[in-house]
Amino acid sequence: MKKFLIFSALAIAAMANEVQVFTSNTMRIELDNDSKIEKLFFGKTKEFYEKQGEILKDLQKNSTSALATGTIATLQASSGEIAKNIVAGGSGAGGVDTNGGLIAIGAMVAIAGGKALFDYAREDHEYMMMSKAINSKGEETLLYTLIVANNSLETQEGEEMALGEQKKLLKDK
Amino acid sequence: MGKVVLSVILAIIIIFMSGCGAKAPRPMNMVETSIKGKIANIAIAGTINSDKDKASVLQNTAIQIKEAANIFKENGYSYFWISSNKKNNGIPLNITDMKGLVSYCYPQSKGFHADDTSAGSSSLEQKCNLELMKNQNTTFYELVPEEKPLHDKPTWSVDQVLADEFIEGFIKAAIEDGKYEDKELKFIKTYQKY
Repeated sequence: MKKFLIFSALAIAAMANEVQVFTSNTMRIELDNDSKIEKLFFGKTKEFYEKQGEILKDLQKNSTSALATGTIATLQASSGEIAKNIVAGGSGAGGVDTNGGLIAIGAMVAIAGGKALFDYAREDHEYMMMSKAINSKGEETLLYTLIVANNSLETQEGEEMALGEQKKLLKDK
Repeated sequence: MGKVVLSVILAIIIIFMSGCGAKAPRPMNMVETSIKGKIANIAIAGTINSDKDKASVLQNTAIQIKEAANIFKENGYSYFWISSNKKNNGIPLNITDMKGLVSYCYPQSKGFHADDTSAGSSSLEQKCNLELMKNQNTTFYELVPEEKPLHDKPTWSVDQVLADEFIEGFIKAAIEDGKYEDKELKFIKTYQKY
């Protein structure tokens, strides 16, 4: 009985929803309590990476400040050399094969194909919030918050969590 | 007889001299690409499965990121971003320091040493496919330098990387673990300034 209780406690602990949050401020500007944060996107990261270019193009079109004229590296990279060098497809590789050629890539795809099915059953859930922030000096930046969780989150729960993290960047003047 | 002895002595000298100009082997390859004399990116490639290089993937990653930051600083760049294909399990764009990289890619990691990678208690999965570097000579990711922060893309700070004690921890551990041969150790010590 004691063993069963210990096992159950361990099982419950393993099932607990562990969450990691990563937030970044692209322009590294200081944000004070008068800063405004406007949500541009919240959703699964997969959806974010599909829509990222579109969101940034809209942002560039509609912004009257530095974001409209600044370097939008994401858009440049999508058609640039770097993007060309990255192996596309389901292999899971983050780069270009420099030696092994097609055979090596083929082997990776085959291995990764089986692995992907296994990973799908146990993978974490990832969400991204992208916001535009303007401080009291009128400086603009983009805030990205990535949430990684064992279990899926309700949209509202995830949004509140991400926004809470972004608000932590606001500092008293 | 004299000629034979002289030949043997010369052969011995040549054998010893041949190693003098050789570069110390690096844990992984770094390939710099320049356009019009300016560094466009530094690609970090593997393999790390050779007998000589048994440092952990994280130790290797820390060494390479720090060395790349040194090169960027020497060339007047203050920021860089990592181009990896997150759609295929690379490093997410808003991971901008080594601590974040480790917690995201190896949530179960509990220390700097090679054996610490999968011994922790986190229930989150290991990600990023950094392990792929072990399998073949693959360009895993590319570090792209920038003079200023970018509006749309989070960047790593060169100065922060160079002062990052977390990165130092991995490099120190790689040396303590004795995973490097003398020549490799010298390479690390040269830029590490221990």
